[in-house]
Amino acid sequence: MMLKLLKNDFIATGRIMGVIYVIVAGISAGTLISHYMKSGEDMTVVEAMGIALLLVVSLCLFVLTVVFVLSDFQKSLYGEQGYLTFTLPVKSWMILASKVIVATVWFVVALAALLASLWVTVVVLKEEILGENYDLIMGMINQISTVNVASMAVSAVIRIILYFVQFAFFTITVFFTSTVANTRHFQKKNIFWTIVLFVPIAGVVTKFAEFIDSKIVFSLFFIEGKLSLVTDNLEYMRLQANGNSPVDIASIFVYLILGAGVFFATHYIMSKKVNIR
Amino acid sequence: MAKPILEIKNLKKSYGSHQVLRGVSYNIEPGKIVGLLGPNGCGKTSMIKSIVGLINDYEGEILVNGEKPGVNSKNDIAYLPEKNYLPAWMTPKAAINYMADFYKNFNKDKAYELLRTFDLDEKQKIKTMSKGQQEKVQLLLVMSREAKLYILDEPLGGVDPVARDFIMETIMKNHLANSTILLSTHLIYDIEGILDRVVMIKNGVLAANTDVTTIRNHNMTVEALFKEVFRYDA
Repeated sequence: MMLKLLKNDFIATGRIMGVIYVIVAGISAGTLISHYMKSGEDMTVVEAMGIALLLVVSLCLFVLTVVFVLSDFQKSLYGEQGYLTFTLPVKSWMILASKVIVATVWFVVALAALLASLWVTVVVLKEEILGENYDLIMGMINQISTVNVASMAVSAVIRIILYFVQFAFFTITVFFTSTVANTRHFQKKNIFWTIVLFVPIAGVVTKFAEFIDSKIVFSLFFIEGKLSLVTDNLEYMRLQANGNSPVDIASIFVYLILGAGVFFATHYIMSKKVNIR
Repeated sequence: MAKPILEIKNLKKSYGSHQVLRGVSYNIEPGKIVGLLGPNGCGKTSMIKSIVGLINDYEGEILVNGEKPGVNSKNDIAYLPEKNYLPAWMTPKAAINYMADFYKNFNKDKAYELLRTFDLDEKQKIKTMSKGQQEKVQLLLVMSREAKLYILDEPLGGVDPVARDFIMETIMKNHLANSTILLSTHLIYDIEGILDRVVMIKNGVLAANTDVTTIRNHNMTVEALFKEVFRYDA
């Protein structure tokens, strides 16, 4: 049943989000084609417009994703569509889990689209914006390539997992706020209360997550091209002070555990305290 | 005596300080067509929403085919709400696929047959349909379920007399044999002929729960009983 919920949630959200990403992909492709097909050195109008559009759309992607994900959650659970959703023969936690997974995937896709559009921008504008820094950047890339490839892959995978968990945490916090805003006291102006309540709720849960996270040192650092596990707070601070960027494994568990807590709280309120209007 | 398909025991529901259901109890036997009758605001919809799992913060006990509202009861119940619950972007075809995905007892062939009977375009989006067409789509989705209990909340509300006849005919023709129908309405005249039993709710309490045969044996009609139960006291 979970797979069926996921399939149908992707169909429902994909018809809008999918179109946005097709537009982003289309603009990227058009800009790159124009860049590689041009005869002279000067930037073409298509390239300039493409880059401008791409940056605007990409920067708006997160806001669009938040608005769309929240609107879909509100409509399909607490609006009239809730009559359909909550009478399906599935466990109510599955309905919530499916919404969280689908929304998180869209946030990850938004991040990937933003990175891809930045890459297109760099490719097209490398002479214009990078100029003399081009050699410096290439030097940095060459330096990175001396790092152990396996270590880099591990680091990349852990970072991707961390981003995914953090997006899921953000998503469930948004859904928790929306669910609270649909309890009896707030239900008449649920959209207004979702916006008003989000700031304090997100503030409290994020600060709490950061506080717990800061107390646990369990991170990976690149030391002499290889990944090393650091659990000592002083060593952690010394490496960070030297410009070494950590891969925080502890954060994954902290956000996972707190996210699970917010998920269960959301499910409790959703299934016990919210009456579908 | 057969095991009841629906058991309601001392059901209470409040919205803040306003109590809409004040301890209602009754059972429904399988295979019956039961009218849940009462004026607007008497608690019919709150009761139905509690049975189908849309309201969970009630007091008392509800058992559907011997089980509390949950996954199994939702599979046993085919529910037609008053509201239009289908997303605006959906087409009848997408709605049929959606229902077939989740309900084991959804009969796709029957759904397409009803789609043709109702003269609906399977590719037309819900948002471009008239209110009547939208109601027909919802009705066909419900009547294509081979359910044990059909719960229809005000299916005749806001439609003309010809459409009412059509809706009643569709319900009677398409519900599964030996299944139970719980039909909420305040338009008694249109359903009087098909009812086996009536349950009347007045101010959140059970005002009547009787066989239609018993009513007729007292030389009364359901409508006459309704008027007597709900008459305005001078």
